[in-house]
Amino acid sequence: MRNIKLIIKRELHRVFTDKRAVIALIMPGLIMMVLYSAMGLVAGGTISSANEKVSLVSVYGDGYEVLKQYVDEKTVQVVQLDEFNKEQLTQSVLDGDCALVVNITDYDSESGRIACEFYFDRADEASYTAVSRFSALLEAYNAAVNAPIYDLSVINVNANGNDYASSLVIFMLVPMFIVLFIFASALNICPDSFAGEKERGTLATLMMTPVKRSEVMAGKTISNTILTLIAAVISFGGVVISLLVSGSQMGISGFELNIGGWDYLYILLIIMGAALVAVSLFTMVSVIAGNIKEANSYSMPIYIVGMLLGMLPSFDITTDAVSWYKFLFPIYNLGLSVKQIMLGQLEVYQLLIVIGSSLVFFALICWIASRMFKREGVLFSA
Amino acid sequence: MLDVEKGAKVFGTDQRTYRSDGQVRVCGITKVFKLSKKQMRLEKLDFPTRVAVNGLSFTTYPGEIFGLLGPNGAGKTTTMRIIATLIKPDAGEVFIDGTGLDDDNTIKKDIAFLTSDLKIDPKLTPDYLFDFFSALFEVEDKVREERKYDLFTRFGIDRFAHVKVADLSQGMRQKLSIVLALVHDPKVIVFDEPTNGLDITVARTVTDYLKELAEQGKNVIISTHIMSLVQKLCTRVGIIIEGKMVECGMVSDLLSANPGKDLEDIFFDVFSKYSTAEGGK
Repeated sequence: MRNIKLIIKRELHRVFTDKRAVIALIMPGLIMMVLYSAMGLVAGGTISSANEKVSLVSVYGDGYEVLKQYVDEKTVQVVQLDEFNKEQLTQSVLDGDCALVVNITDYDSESGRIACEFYFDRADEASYTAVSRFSALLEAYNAAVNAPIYDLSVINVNANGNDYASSLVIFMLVPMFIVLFIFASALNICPDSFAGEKERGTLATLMMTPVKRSEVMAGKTISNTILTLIAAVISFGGVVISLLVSGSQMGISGFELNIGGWDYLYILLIIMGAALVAVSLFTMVSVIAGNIKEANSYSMPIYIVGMLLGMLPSFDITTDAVSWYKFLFPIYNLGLSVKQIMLGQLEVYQLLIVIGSSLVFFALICWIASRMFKREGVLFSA
Repeated sequence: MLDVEKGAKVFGTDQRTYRSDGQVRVCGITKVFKLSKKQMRLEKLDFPTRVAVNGLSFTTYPGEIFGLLGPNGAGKTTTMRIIATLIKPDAGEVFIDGTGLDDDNTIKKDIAFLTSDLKIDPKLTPDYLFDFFSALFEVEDKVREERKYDLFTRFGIDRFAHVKVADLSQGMRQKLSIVLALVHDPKVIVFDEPTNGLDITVARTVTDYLKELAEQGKNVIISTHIMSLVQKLCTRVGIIIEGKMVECGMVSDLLSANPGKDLEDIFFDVFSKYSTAEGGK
């Protein structure tokens, strides 16, 4: 244990006394924050739904007759209501029976002024699309009558759900960026720990001391993990700041990303799990490779596959319940769990599966790497 | 007492080559490396293995400098690495003061291994590295500070103790390698090509220090193909050809047995006699 501590101390000393290494450590998180926030700003107000289905809208109120001519029947199907039962209609939106309920609260036939309320589900893509389409209808009416037109109140009926449009962008991008930067951080740290030391001839020098190979392996893996976790925490900071920035910028006015304290903790834990997976994989590659170039060339396919795995769940934009076993697959479960957080649907047991599978994967790969490191040819060959 | 296979001709009156009272006893070690297809192609070999060392035996004693002589690829470095516990032999054994290499963590406390293959971390300072290696060898703090002062002063490293290795000159790095190998005051110093790549002044510092270590009772084993160095430095010498020890004995005996010839002439005579490439045995 004493030797492991000495090696960890040395590894950390090497990094923290080297300005370039420190910058390389914090850079991914900073890039993530800046890049992602910028993307959030650019994406603001430009989100359009991919839903091509006709939006079913229930409308109550006298003023609908003047709006009727602006309805595009290819995209919006209107059901006129004779009475307004708020609870019942709200439930129908939540159940998905109706995408949007529009209550025209006031209509002035002289000025053409209309006041109305939208009842919609922010977490539902179809509902979100219906809001967009009915808003366009009101805009068209506004342009036609050339008058100050309507008062619009947009009321979300799903208090627990996140804004779908914001979530859509975020849950597609967050896993990708997390994998990108965690893997980039691990890739920056791990190849140097074994392959770099072999290339420089400093690992053999270390092996001349009375330190066991298992101690070197443990010391280096732990220090790689510490450094990657530091990078992960910085990246997490980047995610938080960018979510705060982009969450208020994405979607239409009044829609905000509904992520609370627990969600941030979940994201932090998931990021740490991903960091462990990345460290184990790149450490193993570093053990096998004879030099940094070789390690990087072996690592690149892992990096690309990791990115794709992380993004894969984001392409499935359905909000159906997810089977528990899907949370078992490392990296894929990162994308999946972040998506579930964005949709407000991640269960604690799913998070525990993600963390557990990451730990098991980390232990398994480290064990394999340790076995490999004990082979003589790792240090010296013919 | 261990009987070892005697493979080499022992010249002169020296009878110490295979005695069992030596400090370092190398007993019939064999090492076979597996070759990759690329290595087989490059070396034009038909078999996927290469015998680096083949039944090699010799013994060395405290207070002497023993030279392993041989051409490139003869097996010198492999032998040194086996003694230094970095690799294990496929057959045979090595004992240091009677302890086998299986207990390599105990053995390492008695050995220093120096080679141009072993480098020092460029991001760290000599002071940090000395403390780090001392800690791994469990050197007491007071002893460590005294030793650091002595070695740093002797090799002129004291002025650069807090400069990163990357910013040191090549010669200073070589000197630091030697210093770091000696942090634990080892009994046996195994030095592969001690003056390889050194300029004349640093080489002189190193050879003088090796002599001094031998005078202090240390057991110094060097491998080289520089005959003048062996003639100047070594008490005894062993000549390795194609992984086998072909001749072994006192340098003075070797020279007196071949009047009018220097060590280089003698080496070429031995080489042509034993090398299969040269039509030898």
